[in-house]
Amino acid sequence: MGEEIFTHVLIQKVWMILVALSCAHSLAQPFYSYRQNILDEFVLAAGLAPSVRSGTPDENSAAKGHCAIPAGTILPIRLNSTVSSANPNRDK
Amino acid sequence: MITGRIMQYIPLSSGIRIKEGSKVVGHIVEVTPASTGKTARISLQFDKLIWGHQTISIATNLRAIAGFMRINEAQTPPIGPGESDVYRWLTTVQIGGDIVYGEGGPVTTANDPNDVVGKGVYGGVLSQVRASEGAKCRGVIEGNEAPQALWVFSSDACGTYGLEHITIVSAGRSGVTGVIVFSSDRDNLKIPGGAGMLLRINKNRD
Repeated sequence: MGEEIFTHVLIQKVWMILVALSCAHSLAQPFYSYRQNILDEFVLAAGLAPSVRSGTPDENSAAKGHCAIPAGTILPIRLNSTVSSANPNRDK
Repeated sequence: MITGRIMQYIPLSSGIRIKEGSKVVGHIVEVTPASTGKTARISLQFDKLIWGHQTISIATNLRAIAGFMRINEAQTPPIGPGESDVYRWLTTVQIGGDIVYGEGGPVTTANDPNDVVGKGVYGGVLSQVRASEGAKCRGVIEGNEAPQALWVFSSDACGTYGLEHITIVSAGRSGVTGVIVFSSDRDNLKIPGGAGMLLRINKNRD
């Protein structure tokens, strides 16, 4: 008889704990989403989000990693300094 | 370390652009001073493109190189502007002979004014790359048929211009490392600052 009461009380307590956890989760969910909204708004306002980055499309895409340069692409450059066999380290 | 500045915006097939002013970084691989019976040599490699806030590994080969004076010539209209002319709309002659009919105008080959190979844009031209007759430069490679940013160079520009004492021994096309080798018949091989180059991407290394 005592054993049955003990088991009953135990089940009741476990049940209550589960209900409490469930309630806590359902209450916490809106709070987290609200906090995320606030964070998103802050990021947008600060100009940190990719969608509102102030740079040009090339910078945005480069920052996202879409920066592969296809083989055959030509890069027109101008040398910034002289390269010489007499003093090859001059521009280091 | 050797650095070069991208002189014209470069459109990529993905719709994005490499900005003018981005930096290409390279280094000297080897220097061989001139000695008895041997010419001076410099081997160098351009292996990084600093673009926006990131660095991209690249391997390049050399298509053409031109001295400072040839670049200035190409940027100066052979016929001076009249009273009501807009300077950037004047006709110029590219290094290698292509004719640019001003910014926004067509680019044609030197021999045939009806042979349009590209168009003039801000800071340069966007032209279809052509193989150079009698030289080793290739036309379209790897199926990349997009018009290329050639700045002051012709669509078939190939080799050295205005740097008479410099020879391209290896353009860096063999292998993926892109080591470019120059030699000179003078004791001191000197590639002056301000020289312009057309580098071509071999292969992305990452």
